[in-house]
Amino acid sequence: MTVEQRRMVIDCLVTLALLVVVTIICKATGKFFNVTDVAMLYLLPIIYAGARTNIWVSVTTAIAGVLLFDLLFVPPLYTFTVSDAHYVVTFAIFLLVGITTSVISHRLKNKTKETEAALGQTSAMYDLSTDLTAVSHVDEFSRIIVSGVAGAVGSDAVLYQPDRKNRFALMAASDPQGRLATDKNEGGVATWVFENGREAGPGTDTLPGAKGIYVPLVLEDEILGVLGIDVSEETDDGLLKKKALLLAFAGLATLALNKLLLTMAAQHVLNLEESERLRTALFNSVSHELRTPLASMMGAATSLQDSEELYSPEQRADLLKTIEEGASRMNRVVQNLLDMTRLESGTFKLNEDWCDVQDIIGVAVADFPEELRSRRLDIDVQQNLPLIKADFELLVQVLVNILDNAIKYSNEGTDIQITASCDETAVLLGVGDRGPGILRQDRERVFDKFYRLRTAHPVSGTGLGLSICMAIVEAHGGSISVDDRPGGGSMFTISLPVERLDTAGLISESEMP
Amino acid sequence: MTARSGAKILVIDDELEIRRLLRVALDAHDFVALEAATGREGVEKAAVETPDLVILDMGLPDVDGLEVIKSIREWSRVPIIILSVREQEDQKVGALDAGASDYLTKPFGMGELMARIRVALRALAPGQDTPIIDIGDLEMDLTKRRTTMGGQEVRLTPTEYELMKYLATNAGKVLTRRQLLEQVWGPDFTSDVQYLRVYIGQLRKKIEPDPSRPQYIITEPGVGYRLSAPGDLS
Repeated sequence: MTVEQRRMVIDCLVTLALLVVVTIICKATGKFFNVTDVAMLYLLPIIYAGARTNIWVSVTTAIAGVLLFDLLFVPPLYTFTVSDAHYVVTFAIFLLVGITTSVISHRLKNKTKETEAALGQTSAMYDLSTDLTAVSHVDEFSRIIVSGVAGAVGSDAVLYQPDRKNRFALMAASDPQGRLATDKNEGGVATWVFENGREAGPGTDTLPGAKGIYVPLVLEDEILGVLGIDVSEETDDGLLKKKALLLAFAGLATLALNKLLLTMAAQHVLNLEESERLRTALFNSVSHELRTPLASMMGAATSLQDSEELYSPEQRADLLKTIEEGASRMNRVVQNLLDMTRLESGTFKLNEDWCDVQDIIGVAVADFPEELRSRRLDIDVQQNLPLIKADFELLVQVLVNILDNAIKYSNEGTDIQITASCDETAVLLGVGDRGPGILRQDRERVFDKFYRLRTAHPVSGTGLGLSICMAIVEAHGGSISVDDRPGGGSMFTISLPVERLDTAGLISESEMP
Repeated sequence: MTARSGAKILVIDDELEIRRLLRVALDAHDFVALEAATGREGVEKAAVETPDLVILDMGLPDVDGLEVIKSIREWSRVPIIILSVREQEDQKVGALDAGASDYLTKPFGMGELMARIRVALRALAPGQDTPIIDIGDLEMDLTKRRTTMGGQEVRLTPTEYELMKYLATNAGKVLTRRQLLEQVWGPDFTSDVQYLRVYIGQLRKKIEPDPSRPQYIITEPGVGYRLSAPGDLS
């Protein structure tokens, strides 16, 4: 039994009880109430029934009241005959009261129901518009619209929009396996709506045989999309209501979509400005970084070409070394630019495989044969480091960039330290120099693109190196930071997560040392 | 120098500057330089002129470098040294696995190129397989299965020995990870790089004076390993 049915039974029982109570009271008190009072009292159960039950119960109650009143109180008593014609008016009033009360209360109830339904739809629309304000992407927008509309209307909903290649396509469906989403003809109806900017489907002038009703999302002259709901199982009445709801939601969707498109356009402009700013900075620093070694190479090469006999063999060797160093300098700049482009392109992918950290250090150090000859290099690799799953060459590039800085910012004859150790979760790589160190407030910003330290002796560089290091290390799920090195200088630390590989298992028993 | 003087070397590169530079350097080292500016011309000259060695740029405008290698390999076993940039690792490895002998990453030093050429030409020279390989302080006696470092015997496990022997018999030449894994561990292990990493690490601990700055077993990033040629160690 539903709640409503149970309430109906209780109200009928109360009505019956009221009839009985009124009868007993009036009978028991004898001549205390005159006949008019009794008639008034009998109106109580009739009004109650009218207010609480349906018209049939209230009419029945009115008739029962009439019969009881006639039988028990109207002379001649205990018969249904009426001596005074005046009582017919009383009976009519009983019936009239019963019917009127019932009709009025029924209307009130319906009104309340409608108000509640309207309230429900309003709150559904409100919820939907709130959800839509947080949306930043068209796909997300489509999903929220169809699920919101489907929930509020109570049928499957679909949304068609031009896709990225500007082809009109189904963007979202509340039920991707539903009739609307799978039926090709329905897609045809939606396309017609998109092309003509008019609604179609049951309850409209066009294609009334379709399963869904479709309305265009029109903003000024532009049709942004088509919203549709499944009405294949609706009565005429339900169809009208759903169509009205659909139109309301279409209006909401149009406004929200327009706002979203405007926001995206604004964001696009911001992104363009940002990339333009980066491009300018890049051009400035790169042209400087490439021209400096070019100038020294050109100078050295022309010196040798024009007047070779002027120079002693040592001087010639120096000039040639200048050319070679300039070339490796340029090669590193180009490498960083390529890495930067690669890291910033959406298609960047790590080329991961098992790597030996000591091997990475070896390859990075081998990149600076000349420069490191004038430094004391101290490499300390912990015994039995685990292999790490990483992009070997990118990690070499990280070390090369940090070593390049260590060499640039420190004086000849100082020491550079490289350490590698590990704990349970990470491999730690450290590079320490005896340069000027990095002030506390600069320690995070040095990893920003184009950020350069202001030092007493200007040092050349693109300002890309450390930001590339950071991007590479973070792509590996690791972190990079810089601190003071005990005794002076900077200490860079790279932490890379370890995916444990039991290297002992790779060595067969007979191979154990 | 063990290379035969007067050996014919075909340079296939579309960049005029690189061809000019190589011609000057090859002439100075008593080689005969032949030139081709496109892949098709290169394949043709390789067939007509029968060079002793081919230097091939992987970034040719007309044909993919890999196709050039495959065409030449259809009829000739001439050593091919490829030139490529760092970003073309897959291409490099593909070329080496397809039969190229060695590679150099641009920009490269001329000394390096001459060393690669010498190693590649020496591999051709007949009847010089000796059971004793000498590289710097390292000596491998293949008949006695004995490895010494500066006269001191180095104890190698069977797998370490196989790996060392394969590297040593190809001293100076790059060996891809795939080639190393297949030769030492077998064809089922060609993608198990971790074995190679562990064993190379162990070998370095045993033979390198400083395993963090290896002089003998050189890592070729993204490609494989190379044992230094006798002339590489100063």
